[in-house]
Amino acid sequence: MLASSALAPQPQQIRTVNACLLLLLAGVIIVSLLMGSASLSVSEVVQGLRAEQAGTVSHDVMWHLRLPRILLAAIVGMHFAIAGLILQSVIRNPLADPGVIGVSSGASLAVVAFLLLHDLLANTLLSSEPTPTRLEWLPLAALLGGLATAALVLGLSWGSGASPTKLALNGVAIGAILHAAVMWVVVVWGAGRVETSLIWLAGSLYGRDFSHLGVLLPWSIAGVIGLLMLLGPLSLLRFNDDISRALGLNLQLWRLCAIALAVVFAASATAITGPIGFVGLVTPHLARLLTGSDIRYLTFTSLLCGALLLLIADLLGRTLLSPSELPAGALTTLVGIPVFLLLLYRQARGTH
Amino acid sequence: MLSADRLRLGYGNHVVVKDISVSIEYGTMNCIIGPNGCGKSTLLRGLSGLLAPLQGAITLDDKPLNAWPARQRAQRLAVLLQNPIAPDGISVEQLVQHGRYPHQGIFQRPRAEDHEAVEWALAITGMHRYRRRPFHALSGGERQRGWIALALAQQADVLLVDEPTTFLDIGRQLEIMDLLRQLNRDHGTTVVMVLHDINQASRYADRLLAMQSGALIADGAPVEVIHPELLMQLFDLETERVMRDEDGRAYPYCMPVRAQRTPHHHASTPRPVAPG
Repeated sequence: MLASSALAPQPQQIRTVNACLLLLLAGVIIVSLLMGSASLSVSEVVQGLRAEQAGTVSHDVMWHLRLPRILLAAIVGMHFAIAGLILQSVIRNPLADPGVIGVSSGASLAVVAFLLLHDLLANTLLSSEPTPTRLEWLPLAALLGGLATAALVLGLSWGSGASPTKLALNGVAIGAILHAAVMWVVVVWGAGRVETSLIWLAGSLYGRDFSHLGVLLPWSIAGVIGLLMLLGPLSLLRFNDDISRALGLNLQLWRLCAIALAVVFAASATAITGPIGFVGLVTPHLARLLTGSDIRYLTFTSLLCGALLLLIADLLGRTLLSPSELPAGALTTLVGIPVFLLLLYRQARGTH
Repeated sequence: MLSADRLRLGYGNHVVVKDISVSIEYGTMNCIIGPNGCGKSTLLRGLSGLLAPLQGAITLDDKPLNAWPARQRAQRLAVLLQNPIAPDGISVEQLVQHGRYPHQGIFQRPRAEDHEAVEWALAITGMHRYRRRPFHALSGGERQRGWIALALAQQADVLLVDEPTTFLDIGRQLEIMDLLRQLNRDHGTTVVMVLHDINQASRYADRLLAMQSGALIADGAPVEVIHPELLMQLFDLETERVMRDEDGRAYPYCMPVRAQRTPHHHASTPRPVAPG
């Protein structure tokens, strides 16, 4: 294993790594702006980005399709990455991830149920006019679903000290049940929404615009403020309980806060893009390989890696089979499953 | 002064430590000894504030330990229990930096005094050479010194340690014991430790607390406490006691002769009657 033989990276090296990641991020964003199903030349892209070009096709493509989509991919990637980092730290389990512990499925079920209930009420009780879905309520619904699922999975696993394998098994099982419930709800009551619901459930950035970004951003900002307050305790939560309590940490309080914050990050992102699997699982491991285990560096690098991963997945998803689209969530799962299996294998051998 | 008054400790209905009263004086080396399952680790856990008393009280400077805010308590008491777990991929220096948590506020970046405390802890344990090494790649003795460095970075005046030498070879054991003694002599650190090795306890401690079945059965300087009769009572072990001398300090040393099988001495741990 790389980390066991090498020395921990020094701040100077870490800064270099992060600078490279930032450059890479900028590069991927530029490529993402240039590429898409509408073929635009470089000059059209540059023109389209300028405000005075309003009304032209290239302006529309840039400001209503690519730009919000790219920003959203970056931010959602960060959300899932941080959710994964927090969960892996708190549960002391390298397999933890919002998808693996079932939070994403719980959030999905809540969102789908909310949308359908909203449709039902709007159509039958309130008026015959179609009312637009209140987008800003979605993260709240997702949050409730996510928190309830997290409580259920952790409650089922906590008795055994939340052993990694048991937690992963319970999470995957509960997640699968909830996912089946989502499908059932969508197919039985979905009516005209079945197709869009299924695309959303695969985890996709298709058709997202600045209104989605506007709904997500307050949660991102609140989450980051919470994260900054949580960094010290979070770092300690990675030790066993005796150590963190001996160092004066209020374990129950901070553990709850940390899990709640992870659910906030994961659920709010799920509400906008659907569950995008395995970004939260893979990113913290990648970041740790790059910059070591100091929680501040680990957090910052995880943010960058999460944004990068989802941007790349989305870029590939919308260019590989253009003009058709693969949902980004399908691609992250494709990369994530082998990593998940590798981690499970290493843990089974006790060499983590 | 760290004091226990008629302290009763346990888990649920299971009482492990039965009404022990003891006061630990500042600046002393104290060692809790006793057979497996006698409650010595539980007593240490109670004294460190990590296990709430079922009955009785623990006080630090005449204030109940559980009335101390957790961080302030951690500025006074550093605790190292058995089987600590470190985060994956952490370096020695990063591990030791966590000892500053009780001294730091939320949002606060490490100050000069935090760096100094970490450097001091790394230097005194000899771990400064390994600061950038991944903690998991170290040997058992190095890891144990790393954990002690973490506790020292807290700059607490009382250090509670549970079996600091378990799983170490004899050379590394003495290294750890010498380190603890150096802390006590040079920096006035009060040390309360649980040890399995009676002779190490006798050699390094000012005061021994001998426990059996959750009760304190002997308390005093090694020369008063360590006797073949006590060791027979505690460990069913026949011993020969000789006096040894180190730097003008005389301490008893017991050579094990043979183990006696007398089941009734283990009231706390019933064992099946062995055939023959």
